[in-house]
Amino acid sequence: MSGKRLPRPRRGRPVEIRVDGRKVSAFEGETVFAVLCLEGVFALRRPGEGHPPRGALCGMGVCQECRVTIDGIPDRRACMTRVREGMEIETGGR
Amino acid sequence: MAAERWEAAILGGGPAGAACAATLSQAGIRALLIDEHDRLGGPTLRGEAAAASPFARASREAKGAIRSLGGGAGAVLRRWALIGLEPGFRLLAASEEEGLREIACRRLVIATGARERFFPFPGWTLPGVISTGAVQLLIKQGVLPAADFVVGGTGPFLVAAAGDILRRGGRVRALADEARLADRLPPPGLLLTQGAKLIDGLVHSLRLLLSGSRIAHRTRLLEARGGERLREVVTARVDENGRVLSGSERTLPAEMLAIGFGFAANIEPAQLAGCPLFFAEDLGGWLVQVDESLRTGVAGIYAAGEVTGVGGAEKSFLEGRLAGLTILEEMGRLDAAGRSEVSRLKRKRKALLAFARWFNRQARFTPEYRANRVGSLPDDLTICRCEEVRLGDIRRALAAGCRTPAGIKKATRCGMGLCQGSTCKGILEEVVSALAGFPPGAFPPPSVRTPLRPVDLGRLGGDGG
Repeated sequence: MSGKRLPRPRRGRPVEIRVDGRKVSAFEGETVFAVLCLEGVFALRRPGEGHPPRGALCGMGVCQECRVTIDGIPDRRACMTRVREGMEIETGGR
Repeated sequence: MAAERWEAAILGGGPAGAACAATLSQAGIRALLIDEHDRLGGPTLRGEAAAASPFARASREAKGAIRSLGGGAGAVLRRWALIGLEPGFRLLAASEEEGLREIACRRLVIATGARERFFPFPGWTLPGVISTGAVQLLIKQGVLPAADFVVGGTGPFLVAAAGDILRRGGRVRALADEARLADRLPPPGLLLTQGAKLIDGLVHSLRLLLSGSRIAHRTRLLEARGGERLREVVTARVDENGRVLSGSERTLPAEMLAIGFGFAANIEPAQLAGCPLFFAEDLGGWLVQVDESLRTGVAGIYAAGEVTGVGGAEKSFLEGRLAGLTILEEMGRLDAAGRSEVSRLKRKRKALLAFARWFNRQARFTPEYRANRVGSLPDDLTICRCEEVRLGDIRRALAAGCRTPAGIKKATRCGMGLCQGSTCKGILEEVVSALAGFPPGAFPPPSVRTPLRPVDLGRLGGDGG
């Protein structure tokens, strides 16, 4: 049981990215948040020792809860960033 | 940093901002549209509206306006966020990639839209608990984020979100709405003017019922449970005073819980500009005061769309056009046809405001209900997700003599984190007024300051902009 891509006429070119070191296929135009959902990766950051993980809340750039590290740059919002060929995404930051 | 100069700047590229920018730009006015996202249209238009949807026409018109932006005297800045506003209409904008820039303008249109409201419950911070708007945006991108959902909160928007999930092959185990069914019934006058939208809602409800989903009113999200991510949701019936009816608890397995508690206008840029505000619970809370031509209380600043009253894409599109025509009129550039359009738009706006008032009418919770709802929540419940402030911290600050949300913010750091209180300031206001026995709107919204959005000074330093 998990999410899925919907049948849809216009989808971007296929790209390959890495999520926590793992190869993942995606399509141009999809946000990092969307691809992480499809991979079942809901826990995106850890506020600190002993705190349970957090995931995206608002999905539209406001709440700052979907922060991940993208190509080495921390605190990028997964919901506001679209995937690119070769993108490296790391979850589990503060 | 040299400021670029524009006749008008428009903040927000949703239906209101796009309509306004297109109106000005087509009239030969140098107008700059600034939006935080990489695609214009706001959350409502970032996808295809179903052809039969009552919103399809507004959506088509707004998309036409967006397409026309390239052809006029205007320009569009995408992925730039307003972070500050200095005297003399000097805007400070930031981009993740390109640093800072300063924009000077003679006139400013604030069309910054709305965001979702939240009300906390145990487990609401678990991964997998996301906003109904987030789910709808993902669907518009062509992705159904999970297979198995529970939808809950308060408001008519829940039905639309659940309907979208279902239509794309997802399962909705239950829809838990804390409002009474009676609150969902529209007044007769609305049926005449806004019948199509109401029927749309009815169709969604029927689809839900036919699919076997349970639509439960006066039903609260009691708890979300899980470890690394959501596993199950507990709901319970509540009585008319907001107390849980014991024995009515139900535990539902779910991969995702989509929550929505209505909308709050993004008034922060207007606050920064010093525009007078007003409070109207049935238009979404704190809003920017405008006259019927959409002029704010500050000369040269106009407001359009959700910030003048949360009412959806059609109202926003109309107001964006109206604000643009108001500016043209002030510049002496409006002909007779334009003037008659202005009168028509002003009349239609009144009908749309009536719809908005119904749409936003949440369950009218009594003071006792609100006190019980907050009173039943545990001390270790997270209120401010950025600064990890718990409900117990707020109760202690109240006991120590803090009387207002602003005082509690200072004492606890609630709302002082990365999101600048976007998520929790409405919650804090609700919690404090419920615990202290004040009606909604008793406290002014907390003050805002530059930067409105988090800015990585390290990355912006040097010759940014």
